[in-house]
This record gives sequence, C-alpha cells and structure tokens, in this order.
Amino acid sequence: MGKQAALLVLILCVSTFSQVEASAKSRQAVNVISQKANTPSPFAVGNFFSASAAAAVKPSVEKRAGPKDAIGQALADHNPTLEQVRLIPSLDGPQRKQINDLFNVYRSDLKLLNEQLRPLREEFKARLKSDKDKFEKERQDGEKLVQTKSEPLLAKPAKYLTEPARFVPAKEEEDSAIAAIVDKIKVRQIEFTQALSKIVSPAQMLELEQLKRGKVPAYAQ
Amino acid sequence: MPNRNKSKNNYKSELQIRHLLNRAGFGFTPEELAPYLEMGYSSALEQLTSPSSTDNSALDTMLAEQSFDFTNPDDIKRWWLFRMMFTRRPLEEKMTLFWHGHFATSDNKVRSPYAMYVQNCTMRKHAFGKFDDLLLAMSKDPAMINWLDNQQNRKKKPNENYAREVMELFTMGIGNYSEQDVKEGARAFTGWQAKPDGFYFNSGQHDNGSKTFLGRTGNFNGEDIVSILANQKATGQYLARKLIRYFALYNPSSSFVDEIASVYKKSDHNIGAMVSAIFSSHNFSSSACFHSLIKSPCEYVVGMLKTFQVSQVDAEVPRLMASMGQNLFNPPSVKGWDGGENWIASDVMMARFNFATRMISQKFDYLEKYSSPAKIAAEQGLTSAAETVDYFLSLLIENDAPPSVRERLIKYVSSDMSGKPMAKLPEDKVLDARLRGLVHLIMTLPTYQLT
Amino acid sequence: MTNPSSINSSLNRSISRRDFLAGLAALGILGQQQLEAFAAQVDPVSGSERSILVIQLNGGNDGINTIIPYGNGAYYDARPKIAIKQADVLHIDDKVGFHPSLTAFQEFYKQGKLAVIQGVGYPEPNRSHFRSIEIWQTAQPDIIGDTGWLGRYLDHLSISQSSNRVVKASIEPGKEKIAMLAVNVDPLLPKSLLARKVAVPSVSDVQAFRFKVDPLYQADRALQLEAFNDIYNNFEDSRSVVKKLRTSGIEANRASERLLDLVKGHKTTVKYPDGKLGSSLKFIAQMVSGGIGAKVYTLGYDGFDTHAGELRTQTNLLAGLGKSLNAFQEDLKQHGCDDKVMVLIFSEFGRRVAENGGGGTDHGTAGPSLVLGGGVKGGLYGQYPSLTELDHGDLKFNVDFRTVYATILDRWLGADSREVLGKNFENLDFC
Repeated sequence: MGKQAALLVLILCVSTFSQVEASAKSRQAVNVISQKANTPSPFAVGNFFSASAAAAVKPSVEKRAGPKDAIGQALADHNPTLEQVRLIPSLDGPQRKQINDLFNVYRSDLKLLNEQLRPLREEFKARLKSDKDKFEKERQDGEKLVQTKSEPLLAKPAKYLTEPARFVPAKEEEDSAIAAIVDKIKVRQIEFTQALSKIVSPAQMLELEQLKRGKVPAYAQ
Repeated sequence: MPNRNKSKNNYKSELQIRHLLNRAGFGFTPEELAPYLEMGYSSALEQLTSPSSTDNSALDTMLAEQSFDFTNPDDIKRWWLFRMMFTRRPLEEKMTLFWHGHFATSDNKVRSPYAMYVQNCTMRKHAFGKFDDLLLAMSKDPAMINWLDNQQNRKKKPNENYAREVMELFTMGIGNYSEQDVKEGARAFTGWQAKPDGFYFNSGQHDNGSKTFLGRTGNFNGEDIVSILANQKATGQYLARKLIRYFALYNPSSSFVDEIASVYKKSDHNIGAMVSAIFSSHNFSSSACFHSLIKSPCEYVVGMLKTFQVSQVDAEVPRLMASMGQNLFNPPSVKGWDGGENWIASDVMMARFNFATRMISQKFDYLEKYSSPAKIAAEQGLTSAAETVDYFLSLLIENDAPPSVRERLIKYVSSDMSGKPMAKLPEDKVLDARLRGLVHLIMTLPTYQLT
Repeated sequence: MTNPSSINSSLNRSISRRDFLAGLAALGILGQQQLEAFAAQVDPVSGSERSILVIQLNGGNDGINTIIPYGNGAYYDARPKIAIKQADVLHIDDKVGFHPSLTAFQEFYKQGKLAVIQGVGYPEPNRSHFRSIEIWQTAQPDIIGDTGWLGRYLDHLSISQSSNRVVKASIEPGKEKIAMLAVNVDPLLPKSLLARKVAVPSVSDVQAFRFKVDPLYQADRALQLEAFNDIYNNFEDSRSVVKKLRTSGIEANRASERLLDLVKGHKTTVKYPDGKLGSSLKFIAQMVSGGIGAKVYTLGYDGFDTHAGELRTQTNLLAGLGKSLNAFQEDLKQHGCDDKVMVLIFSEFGRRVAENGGGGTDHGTAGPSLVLGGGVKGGLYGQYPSLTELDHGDLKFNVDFRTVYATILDRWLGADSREVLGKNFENLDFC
C-alpha cells in the first residue's frame, strides 16, 4: 500500500474507532443512567416534541425588537454600560476610577447631544405632518378640478398617462440638521470606544464577553 | 394525550402520576407523560426525585443554541423560563425556584443581572445537597451580600441586616433567638464582603472578639454561625414545614412536619432526602393532597406552555408573569412570595385569565410556534361537542369540576355565534372560535388554578 | 355553602340591605345564595366617603427648588448655576415661594387648599432610594418592615368593618377580603399597600383589567362571559381553596366590569395633560366620582433623580404635576367630590443644598411634603430647614413624616394612627 493510502486507512480506522468508542461511551452512559434510575430515559429519542406540528419549530427565545426607525437604529450604542464594565473581575483600583470618570463625561456629553437632537426631530415631525396635510389638500383640490370639467376629451390628458402623484415623505435621516447631530453622536460613541480601550485591555473586554455569555465562577458550578 | 386503554395503569394511578409530575415540576407535555405512565408510579417517583441521575445534556445543547446576555435583566428571566420549559430535570428547577423564594434576593436593589444569575446557579448547585453548604454559599454570595447590606457590616459599625434575616427567614424562624443573638451574629459576619470576582473576606473589618451566640461562646465567624444555625432543631422544623407547604399541603399536620424534620436530622441535613420523603409520604398521595395547592404564576405559565407544546418563550412572558405577582429575580421582599391565597387577588386573577387568552389567540399562530385546539382536536379525532369537552377537561384539569361545568361547556361549544344550539360540530371558523373559547374557559376555571 | 339560618339573619339586619340585595338579585347578576356570600364581602363602605391619594415622586425630588427659599442669600450662594431667579419664583410669602412651573399650586395655596409641610424627614436618614422608599412606605425606619402603613390601615379597616357584621357567610373568620378598599394605579404594588388581610388590586390600565377573548372573535365575548358567570355561579365544591378561587374570580370579573362602566360612563369637560400621570389621575377621578368607595389610591411619578441637568428636568416634571393635579381637582369639583379626596405628595428624600458639578444635585435628606384637597387647611407648616446648619451637607428635618401620616389617619380618615404606626405621633393642623 502506498504511504498516502496507508495514512488514509489509518485515519479511517482511527476515526471509526473513536466513533465506535464514542457511541460505546454514550451507550454506556445511557446504560449507567438507566441502571441508576432503573428505567430507560423517559424522553422520546430525537425531537422532544414529536407529536405536534409545533415540533417542526426548534425551541427558541424571543427577544424584544430594537428601534425600528432609521435614527433609532443609527443611534444604537454598541458600547458596554458602566454596570457591565464594572463586572470585569480583573480591573484594579486605578482602572475603576478612570472608568467611572470616563463614563461620567460620556454620559453628560451624550445627554447634551440628545437634548440638541430632540427639538430637531420634533420640528421635523411637525413639518412632515404639515407637508402631508398640504399634499392631501392639493390632491383633493386637483381631483375636484378634474371632476368639474364636463366636456368630453378627445384624448386622455397627459396627466393620466402616468401614475397619480404619491406623497413621498421626507426621510428623517436625510435631513441635514438631524444628520449632523446623529453623526456627532456616532463620533462620540466611537471616541468613547477608543478611550475605553485605552483603559481596559482586550483580554479584560473578553472577560466581560464571557460573563455576558454566562460564564459562571467556579464556586457556582 | 395517550390512550388510556394502552396504559397498564388504571385511571387512579394515572392521576397519581399526573399529580406527582405537577408537584415535582411545572406540568408536562403529552410526550413527557407517556413514559412515566409506562414506568408506573414508584419508578416515576424514583426518577423524578433523583434529578442528578437524569441526563440533561439535551437542555444544555438547546441553551447553547440561544444567545442570552446575562448582563441583561430580561434575558436572565427568559433563560430561566427556557430552562423550566425544556429541562429533563423538572424537580431541579422547581427546587431552585423554592430556594429563590427562600433566600429571596431582588435585582431591584442588587442591580446586577449577572450577580443574580450566578446566585441562581449557586442555588441550583446546592439545591439537593447538605443545607449547611447552601447556607454557607448564600452567606458568601455577592448578590446576597449586597442585598442584605453585609458589604456595610464592619467591625466598628456592624450592620445587623444579614444576621437578622438569616435567623428569622432562612433558618430557625422568629421566636427562636434574641436581639442579642442578632447583634452577636452580625459581629461574626463583619468583613464578609463581595468583590467583582466573588466573595472577599476583609479581615481588617472583621470583629475578632469573642461572641455569645445562641448560648455558645467563642470567637465565631460566619462559618461557625452557619454551622450552629444548621444544627438547630428549629431549623429542621422550619425547613420541613416550608418544603411541605411548597410541595404538598398548606396546612400540614404537626406529625408530618416532625416526620420530615427528623429526616433532616437523620440524613445530616440533606435536602434531597427531605424532598424524597415528602413525595413518598402517604400524606402526599392522599386524595386530600390532589389539587390542593394554588399554582404559582410560574407553574401556571410554564404549565400552560408545556401543555400546548409551545416552542418559543415569547418576549412578554416574564412581564406577564410579573403582572400575576411573580417577577422572577425580583421578589417583593426578603420574605419571598407568600404563595397560597396570595396568588389569587382579584387583579391577578384577571391577569391569569388574560394570559390564557393570549395563549389561545389566533395571532400567535404565526410560524406555528403555538399549537391550536382545532389541530389537537383533529389529531385526536374528536367529532362531537361532548367528546371535545371531555378531552380538554381531562387534559387540562384532570376532570376536576362538577358535572354542571361539563354541561355548560358542551352548551357553549354547541352554540353558533349568536348563541343558538347547533346539531353537530361546526366547520372551520366557527369551530376554531368555539374550541379556542372552550380552552380559554377551562383555563379560567377555579380548578385550573390548582395543582 | 351558606346555611339558611345565616341568610335569614343577614336579611334581618336592615331593610336597606335587603333591598340592596334584592335589587342585585333582580338584575340577575348572581343567584340569591351566591349573592349572600358575595355581598357579605362587598359591603359598600359606610360612613365617611373620604379617601386619600398618595403620590410618590420617585427618585428624590429636590425640595429646595420646589419650595424655594428665595429670601435667603445662602440659597444663591450654594447654587450659582441652578438656583431659580427671584423674579421667577411664585411667592408664598416674603421668604419662600413655588417653583415657576407650579402656577396651579400657587392658585391652590391662595384658595387655602394646599398645605406645605416643610422639613419633613426622619432620624438617621438613609440616602439609598430603595431603603428610603421602604422607610416611607412601611413607616418603620428602625426595622425592615414587611407591611406598609397604608396596608396596616386597610387591615384595621377590614377588621372593624367585619366585626359589625352579623354573619360571615361562607368565608373563614378573619379572612374576609373586601373588594376595592384601595386601588393602586401603577403596574407594581408599592410596599405601602402590603397588608396581611387585604389584597389591593393594581389597575394601571383599566383595559388590561378587562376580561379578554381572542381578538379575532370579539363577537364571542358576550357568550364566553355568560358561560363564565354561569359556571362560576354554579360551581359547587366543598374545598375551601376552591371557594376562595370562586370568590376571587367572581370579584375579578365584577370589579373589571364595574371599572369599565365607570370609565365609559364618566363625563367630564376637563382636559388632562398627555402622559401617564394625567391618564392615571383621570382614572382615579372616574373611580372617585363613580363611587367605588375605595379609601386609598396610590400613584408614582418617575424621574426626579436629578444628578444632572436638574433645571430642565424638574421644570418639565413639576409642570406636569401642576397641570395634572389642576385637571384632577377641576374634574372632582365638577362631580362634587373635591372635598372627599386628600392628596399627599412626597418624595423619598430631598437633595443636597449645594449643587454638584453636573448642573444637578445629589441625594439628600429632608424635603417638603404637600397636602392638597378641599378638606385641607392650607398654609405653611413646619420650619424651612436651615441652609447653613447642616448634617453632612444636608438639611436637618424638623417634622417626622409619621406625623404627617398620623394627622391624615386620625383627622381625615378617622382611624387610630397609634395602631397603624405603632406609637403615638402628634398631629399637625393641616386638616
């Protein structure tokens, strides 16, 4: 047998062996469990919900949806909160103080920017509403105008050859004043991320990530 | 619902098994019930009361497929509900819930979902072991230390909060210690603090002097207090009574309490042994015990989801449970939830009824994550109003209702949309409305609130 | 169920009671036997129709910027950025005045309907939100209480009412629950209403409290409700736990329908401001004028933890408070009820004298409590705490909050404040 073929056979044997071993182990495990409980496992093998059509769907957890509007989504802050950062076990005293101060400044900056943004959004909403009302009024006036014409027409007016005008609402995210503030907020968020990364090391941020995923200290396992 | 003729048990023993499953867990899906019926009561009892010997890896796999953020207060609730719904070890979750109500800690003050999650895991770890171990673990738990102000318990200015609650609510109960014991106990716990990575003994803040506690004198620290308390007879009695009230009867006889308290002593404070003894007692399998407890919101909600094999924990479920009076990780006080009648004030009854409506509503059929009564009826081959009513009465309340209820429900199912009686089961939309209404009505019955 | 002799004795109690029951029976709401059992619990509150509404300002309202000591130079020294200008203050007298947003309150004060109690607090103040709220709600600063002051009041009320009854129907003695003695208009029950015997419903949204059916089959609701009522009325079961469930279910439905009727039937020309406070007060006005007979209403108003940006936040919040209560009083007046409700407004603590670096203030101690209503003897009570002789930078209290509670309990509600509060507290003269 060639070297490669021999290697292949070896690999196959090993994998088969480990599969056999694995299934033997699991069979053993099942047997052990059965013996311990004196009965076979009570749960249907395979899908836990085998009878109902609902079984076609895997168990899941629904989360609350985030903001649906463009501005809300743009403003979503991917930075961790102070409460989360505080959880990192390996932070030392000086680090903690720096973190506190950093967050204080960040929060008050954001508050200020949001206070600038809010009236702009409200004004925009008001303008949008009045534009929409105006459009509606014009459309209704236009239709009345068409209806009063009683002469038969030789040809359909050009107006009817195209789609009737539709109200196209202005987009909040395209409003220059609003977009400017949103950009400032995003820039501030990025600045914060960078500033935080100077205080907290990547390994420490990873610690936080693990806690978020549910890593439990040894005493609770 | 398995065909009763196939099961080797008679109806009475089937009821016993259902009773056992309800008390040792949060209800059951039809698929869960079948194998237990097959095994018979005593094997089912053994299986259920030895959770550590049941393989729960399927749950672990399911959990790994979700994405929980354990620093998010909503996510930890959903995580726990997910566990309750899909665990293969129902008694383990039931017991963790018991301890959560016993060592009641609220995130409202702690303000750290992660710490609450770790506390929950600690409770699960020690749920069936030696009580001393659990008590010690709780005394060192960061969420608990924060909750009962032990962080502020210092040598020169002791804070008595933890010492008081540990005696009044976690071990012996009121009337078994003096104010002086509280003061001395507080001194023993001085310096027991929490840091982000867990318990921290601040020796500089610890009062190293001699203390006299419950008639004993010595340079006690927290570990000693834990040991002394766990060995008190009053502790065995207190725990026995509480466990019986949680799993069996609201008003146990003093002999039943004594029986379980003696198991505490004989088993060297083993909680698992006490719980097994409760389930094995004739007091548990008596007919007076059947349907004698009021379902907690948790049992109500999770039970309903399991009965209809719902695959999804809907984002609103924790909030709806809170509106019924049980906000997971946020008990109203360190006393936990009083339970019993307190679960059924008038506003929370309406919250329960409306949760049932939500459960049964058309709008949750999307993506087939919820079952529907019409589907179940078709699967079971039900063809008359009486058959349908009987099936659901059996499925949902084990037929625990006076005959007048059955009749009235049949009348309801057999009426058309204007209330006039119909000759046979209607088609399509009307059938759908009738069946959803039927299931809703059954779930608003007084006896559906019982377990 | 109920035994015949007890029915007779209840009927013999008073003619009006028999008429009342007969009237209900004629409406076909409940069968006669069930009616006895139920009515024994749902006795309308006899005697005084007075009630209190307790509004908790959550977060620690800055009392110094609410009742402003504009006549005191130290005020301006301590708060260079966030002090309210003298010209803007709404005068009470030449020393103190209201925050500019509280025009409605100044008006109430002029009408003699508003009592401003200055310097309210308690010894060894706690600056934790959680603990301080708990202290105010349990009225127990020295221990961790497990019942609320209002809960204890309701417990005493329910005992004294039940001892007047000849019969207890099918309910165990001492376990009566009287429907609608109090209503909490917030999603979660505050600790102040935790009681041993009485369960207070939390109805923040009367629509949520409604018996709901599948939204796609709304037409079926009437049929389902009919079935529900028939089933509950005829649910014969001797187990006491089932009886309790029956009662609770019937009560729930009845209370829900009653509240919905009240809301539908309430006519008013008053316009309440938008927002949760406005709609909650509107709902309470509906319940008061609709005569559900509750003695206690509770409500929370969030947002007062002004560590930063205090000026803008507090201006908005107080404006909301003033406008909403103005609408509320107007609404009550239209229905002839404005002298029946006394409103107590408090916060779990005040804030520090000196402003902080963020245009706000940090947790403090004493603060003013306000009491509003037709039955109030308006005016200034207590003393404005010194702004210079402080307790670690905080105001020293001079009126124990339990005195305020005692006054309301003894003089307005006709209760025994000693029983509720555990010891004697003197009364102030605001009612």
